[in-house]
Amino acid sequence: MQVTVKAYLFLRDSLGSDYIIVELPEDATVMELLRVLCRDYGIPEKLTIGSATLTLFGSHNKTDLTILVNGFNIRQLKGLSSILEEGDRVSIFPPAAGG
Amino acid sequence: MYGCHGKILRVNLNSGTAKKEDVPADDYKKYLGGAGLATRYLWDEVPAKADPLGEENKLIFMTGSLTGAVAPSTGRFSVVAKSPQTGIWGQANSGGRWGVDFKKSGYDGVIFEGISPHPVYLAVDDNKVEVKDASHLWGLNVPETTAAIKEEMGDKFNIACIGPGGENLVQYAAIMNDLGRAAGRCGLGAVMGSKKLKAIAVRGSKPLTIFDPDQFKAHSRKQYELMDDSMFKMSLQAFGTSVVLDLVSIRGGFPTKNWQTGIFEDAEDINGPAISDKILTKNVTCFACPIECGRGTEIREGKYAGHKGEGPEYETVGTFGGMCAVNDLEAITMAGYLCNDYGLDTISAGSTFAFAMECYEKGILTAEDTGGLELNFGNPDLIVDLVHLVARREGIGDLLAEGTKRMSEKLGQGSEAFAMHVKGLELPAYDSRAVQLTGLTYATANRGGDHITAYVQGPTFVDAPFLIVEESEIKDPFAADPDEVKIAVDLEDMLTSFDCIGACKFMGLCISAADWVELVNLATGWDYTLEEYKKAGERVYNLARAFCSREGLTPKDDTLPKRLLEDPLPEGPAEGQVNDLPVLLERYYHLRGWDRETGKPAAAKLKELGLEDVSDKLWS
Repeated sequence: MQVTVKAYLFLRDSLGSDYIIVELPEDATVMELLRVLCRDYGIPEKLTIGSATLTLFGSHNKTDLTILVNGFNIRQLKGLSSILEEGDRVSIFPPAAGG
Repeated sequence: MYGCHGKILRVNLNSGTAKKEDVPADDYKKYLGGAGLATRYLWDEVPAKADPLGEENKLIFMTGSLTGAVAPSTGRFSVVAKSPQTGIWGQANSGGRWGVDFKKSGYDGVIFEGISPHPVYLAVDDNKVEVKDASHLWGLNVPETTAAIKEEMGDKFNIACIGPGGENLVQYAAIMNDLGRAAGRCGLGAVMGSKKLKAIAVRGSKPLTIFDPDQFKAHSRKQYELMDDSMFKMSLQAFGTSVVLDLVSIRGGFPTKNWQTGIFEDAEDINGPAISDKILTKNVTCFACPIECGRGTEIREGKYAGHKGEGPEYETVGTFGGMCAVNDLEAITMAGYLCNDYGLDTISAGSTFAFAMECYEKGILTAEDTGGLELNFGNPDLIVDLVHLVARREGIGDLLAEGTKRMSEKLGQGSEAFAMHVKGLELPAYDSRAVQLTGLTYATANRGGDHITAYVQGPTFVDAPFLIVEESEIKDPFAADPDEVKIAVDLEDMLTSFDCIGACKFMGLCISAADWVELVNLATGWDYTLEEYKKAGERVYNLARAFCSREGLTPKDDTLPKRLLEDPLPEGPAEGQVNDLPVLLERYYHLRGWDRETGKPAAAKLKELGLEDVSDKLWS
């Protein structure tokens, strides 16, 4: 199956283009997607932004990123274990606040 | 006294005289300074049912107990008066450097009373205080006024002033300082205009006396160091307040076409990175702020090329952009510049324009009403033209200058259903149908449709919890969960304290409540525990509510526009959602200790907060 991935703000150039379409096995999770992004797209497991380090995925199903699937925050789904479906749109943000 | 001077100015505009008076030390501690202390003066001195634009209303500028002390972003001041927009408690807060410079004069604040027979400005040069004629300044915009006063008084004077917006009593006129900073909300620029007060110019040399300077400095330094590693700091610094725009939009909560939908297809043309790429020239910083989220910008393309200024902030982009369906960043930026120059609140301005556009779309406003102007959504030049017309009250601008609530009352024909205000104050750029708890905080905020009373958008919209409350995690954004109401109440109380001490609310994301209490105690010599400090925030929140109740506010006013309660969002992740208020309001009143029938803070609650005298008057 295919999902669309788009990264924002400090991560916006990390995928090499505005958005990418990633091929994943059926029932792949967000965690598996992140592993593919590291393996095939050269994204480091630990991102350095300024003096901060962000972990893409760590133990206990945790990530330092804000990840949404079709506009729903995975924290309100099943975290990194959230199962993806064909055509899903995954949005990846570094922590951000303001407004 | 430490941390503050214990003195304020009282200016009688009827007679053009100023005198200084002492602030009771107990009051300073009890209300924490800033908005809290100003609210106490408002309660005591402005009679019930006073005309907001009349002689009895008072306009109170007050710095906070930490304003001018060097801790993260502690340069802010508040302005408090009865609001012409809402008819209840009006408060606006601003950063920059003006508050710090005012406090250097040796005064913590100034109360203006009466109405001057002719335009004046207040000049404060340390102990020398003068009410000076401003007839020659009347009609000038903010940059012109600032330049003219500096020419007269000297370049070292810092100026807070109104532009033509305030002079012409535009209901949502702002008070501007440092050229591009605004005490924007609640129409307090119109109050200033009604008093014929053009500006306050200040220069001072009095140092602030800190109770324990060494410990304060050490503790403050620790907070700066802590923030060095904060992603919140870095993202705000890089992209400004519009850093949140994409997250809000992807969640389907970016109000578009006057809240007809929550998704703006062209969001990426106007988001934080677009601002950085297209117009940003430098970061603009407030006093002692490690973030520097302000945008120094220049329009480089299109018909507005060559104009420079400050902004746009997220809310300016949200209202002129999303709400008006304009995808032209340069036009949005120009509209924002003009609001700064004329002295207008960009939230209420853009929101009111969007309301007018929907009225035009539905035939409630016609070309005959507008003098031939086509008020269509998505027209970049229109938002720029309307700012001029509103500030000068020319043509259709005269009607739009009244704001959304009064316009809808005049126009009728069902327009009330999509008049997007609460208690008369236009709503900001977060669609609360996408997150239930946001709707509650819009309905209950003391100053009306406001997003930074509780600032619950951090945990609700952008996944950013606050360190100043014990718990702020939202489980399901679409569930109206009474157990999460405490988050709203706690945030309201704690963030109220920020408006009192003179610190930026963004710092509540990065620095804990305990650290803030420590900083306040070290600066002032007070002995607040964390619990007592929270109670002080709650005290001020209830005092402001008591003022609103006294002016006639009832529980029926704690609500939302019909569109948010009845019209489901038509698309996106929040498709089908409306705000479900009753279950949240029930718990809110219970937690607040407010009377369900009248909406007043109950006598027992006021007594618990040390406001027995307020209770006696409110319940007599």
